[in-house]
Amino acid sequence: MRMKNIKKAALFVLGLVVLLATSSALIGPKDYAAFNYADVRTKLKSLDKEADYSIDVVCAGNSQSFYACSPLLIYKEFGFTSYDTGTAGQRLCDTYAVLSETYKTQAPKLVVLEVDGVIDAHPGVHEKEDDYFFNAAETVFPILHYHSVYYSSLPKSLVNLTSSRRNEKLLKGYHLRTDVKPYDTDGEDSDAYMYVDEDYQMTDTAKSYLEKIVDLARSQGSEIMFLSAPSATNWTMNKHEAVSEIAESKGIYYLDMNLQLEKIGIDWEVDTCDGGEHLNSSGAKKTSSYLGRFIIENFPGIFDKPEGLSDTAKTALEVKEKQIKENWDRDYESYMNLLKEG
Amino acid sequence: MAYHSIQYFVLFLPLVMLLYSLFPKKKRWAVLLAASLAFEWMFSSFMIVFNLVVVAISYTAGRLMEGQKPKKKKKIMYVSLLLELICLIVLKYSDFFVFSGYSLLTGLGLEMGDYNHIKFIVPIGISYYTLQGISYIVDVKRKKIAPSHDIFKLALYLSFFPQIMEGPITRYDEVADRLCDGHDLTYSDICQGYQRILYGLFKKVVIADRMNVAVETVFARGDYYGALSFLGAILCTIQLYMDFSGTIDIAIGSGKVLGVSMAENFKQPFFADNASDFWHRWHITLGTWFKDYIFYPVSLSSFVTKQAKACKKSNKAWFATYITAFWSLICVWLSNGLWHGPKWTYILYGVYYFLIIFLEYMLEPKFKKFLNKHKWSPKSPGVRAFRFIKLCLIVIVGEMFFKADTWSQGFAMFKSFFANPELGRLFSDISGLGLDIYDYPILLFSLLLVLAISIMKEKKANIRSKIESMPLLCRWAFWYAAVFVVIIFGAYGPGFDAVAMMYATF
Repeated sequence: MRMKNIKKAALFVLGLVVLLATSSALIGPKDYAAFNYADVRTKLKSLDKEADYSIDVVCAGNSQSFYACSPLLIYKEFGFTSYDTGTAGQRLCDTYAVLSETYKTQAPKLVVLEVDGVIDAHPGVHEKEDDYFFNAAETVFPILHYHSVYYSSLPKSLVNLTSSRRNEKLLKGYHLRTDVKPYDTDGEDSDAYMYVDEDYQMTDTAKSYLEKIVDLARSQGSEIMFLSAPSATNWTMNKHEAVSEIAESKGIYYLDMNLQLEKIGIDWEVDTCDGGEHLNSSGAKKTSSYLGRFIIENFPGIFDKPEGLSDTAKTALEVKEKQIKENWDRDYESYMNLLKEG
Repeated sequence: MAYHSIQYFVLFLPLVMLLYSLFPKKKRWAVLLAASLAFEWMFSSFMIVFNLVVVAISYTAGRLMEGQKPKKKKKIMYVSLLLELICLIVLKYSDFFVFSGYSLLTGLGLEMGDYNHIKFIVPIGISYYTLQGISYIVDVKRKKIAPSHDIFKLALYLSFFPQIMEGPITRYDEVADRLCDGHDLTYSDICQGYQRILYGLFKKVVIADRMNVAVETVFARGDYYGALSFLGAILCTIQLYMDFSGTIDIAIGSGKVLGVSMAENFKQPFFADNASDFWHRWHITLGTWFKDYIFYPVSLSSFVTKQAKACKKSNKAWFATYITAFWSLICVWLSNGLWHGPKWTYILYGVYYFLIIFLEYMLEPKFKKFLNKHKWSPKSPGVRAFRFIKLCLIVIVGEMFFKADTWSQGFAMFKSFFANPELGRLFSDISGLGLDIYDYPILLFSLLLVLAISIMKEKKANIRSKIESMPLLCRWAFWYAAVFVVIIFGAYGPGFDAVAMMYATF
């Protein structure tokens, strides 16, 4: 190849590098690192619509969380507000990002961490922990990682047209699925529910993010508990034991609903939308009620009003609470209408 | 390392180019061989040994045939083909055949006890390099090529990294000289190669991978209804075409970067006149392989020629042409189905195309007579539209069975076309396909772009020269924009599941 052509090719590549660097500087998160920045941003935008410091409990995690915890149902039954910050396939790094951003506008008394993502083989910001070249490329040119961020900038009415995400804001982060696809209790693998013989190991990255999440919650004065939502095809005793060990070592409550199915009343014939992996609205009604009661019984007094407030502060608090109640009651009515429409 | 991974085209390929250029001309083929073996090792590990076995058998057979009499040559050919096929059959098909026999016997009421599946890891690429090995041996026997005297150079032909995972299935006489001649890399080849790679990435990463979630969602449903099944069949056809042709673009582009031109594998297949023509434009190198090494040998075999002669002597002379076509086509299409993998759905796929093509073979003359009788030109828009719709339906239904896990799933979907079409239900279900609203315009514009390019290629328009004629800055802006389209609209990273190259598993 002639020198002239080598120079031309080098110039072309240089131009590409400059464009990649420029576009990388324009796109991507400024405040926090996330794996699925688009989903995290969309969720935080939803949360932003809530009045500041109006959320008592934050539920965090992946789809197991947003299909199992319905804040409006919990509110109606137990009177405290909550928000589900879960996103599809949420990695622990994203849970940490969402939570740290949440604390900028909210002061939840309790964080409920759905722990399905804890066992994820890839809990960090990069696609795969062992894909060194791609990770390096993403680090140098973040556009390679945040390239699909454009859709979180589209109008919400356009983005959230998929059925379960459509009413995410109204439902306080909960994803509504009313369809039923039963779990095959006579199927080949049905006996394996909770007893699949696989060895799950938390990666060091996962341990480090879990540590950060717990520290963040505690440093902000929140209680934290672990939750495993019912999932016939996903959760196992091995996973349960791995999480129990961590919960015990950190003095954290761990509610594994998979071991309480009868008490909760889960019926895999009617309570799942996808053959046992996730819950539908019927299942979520039962788990939300159970979770709400568990919180009330195990965290007594966390929703009590602060003592020693001046009369002015008390009045201001009451006005705020009244406003919050009006909004949540209205949203609850809309939710009921949605359920009626099916 | 997949062809559409950044490691491949940003790191591996440039590194090979650099090393190739730095080496003395006489030893450059060694760089390609080392790169090919390293590439294969990365995804196959010790399974690379099976490729080396095919190399050894092919080389030995070639050398042994030198100077031998035709009868001896034939014997050597048969033994070596058998040895190569044993590797393929044992690794890829043994469980399928044994389990099929077991199922048959238990079906007949014989007590057979529990069946323990035979589990072999099938080396990636074995279906491709075995076919190349066979073509080499047969071509040596036919004196079409001279046998290679250098086992390493033959190894390079049978393991050349751009083609090892999905083809194209090249012939020794097409590429061997070029692979080993130590040519210089040219600026023009590198540009054209990377442009082709970029177009392949566009088809694979922007279109095929984006569609994946919808295709998987439809096929995973149990409650099929016609409209949804049909949509699923269309989407899986487009996805398969975009995935396979996109990866082939990357393979051919990679070859071009290194100055090696490989045979085209696709030629606007949906513009074909009929199913037979479709297979002259879709997976072309597999089709020509079957034509050269199965269709013609079967057509000329004593078994078939005797039958044809017997027909000619009797009063069934008209049947003689059909009997030859029948045996040749059924062998080709059963092999084609089986080549794709040890599954009954693939065999059904082969039988399906056999029936369609055989019917077309019988009916095409009658159809032409019909057109003549009514004075309709075969090129009139009406006739062309009819042929296009007919072809699309044939291909879409075929790909639906191809994609289905079992015959019963394929037939359930097919049955639903007629039993419960429920078009209205599709509109309410479309939001549950897993695609977000922004996916639709991206897919629509991308497909329109591919269609426009295909039309231009069909009309023999030289797209590249049109781009090359643009002023330098415009040209560069065009290519930068193309790179950014793939980067920004590619379905990779957060929110997307990685989709493996579909034909790498066959």
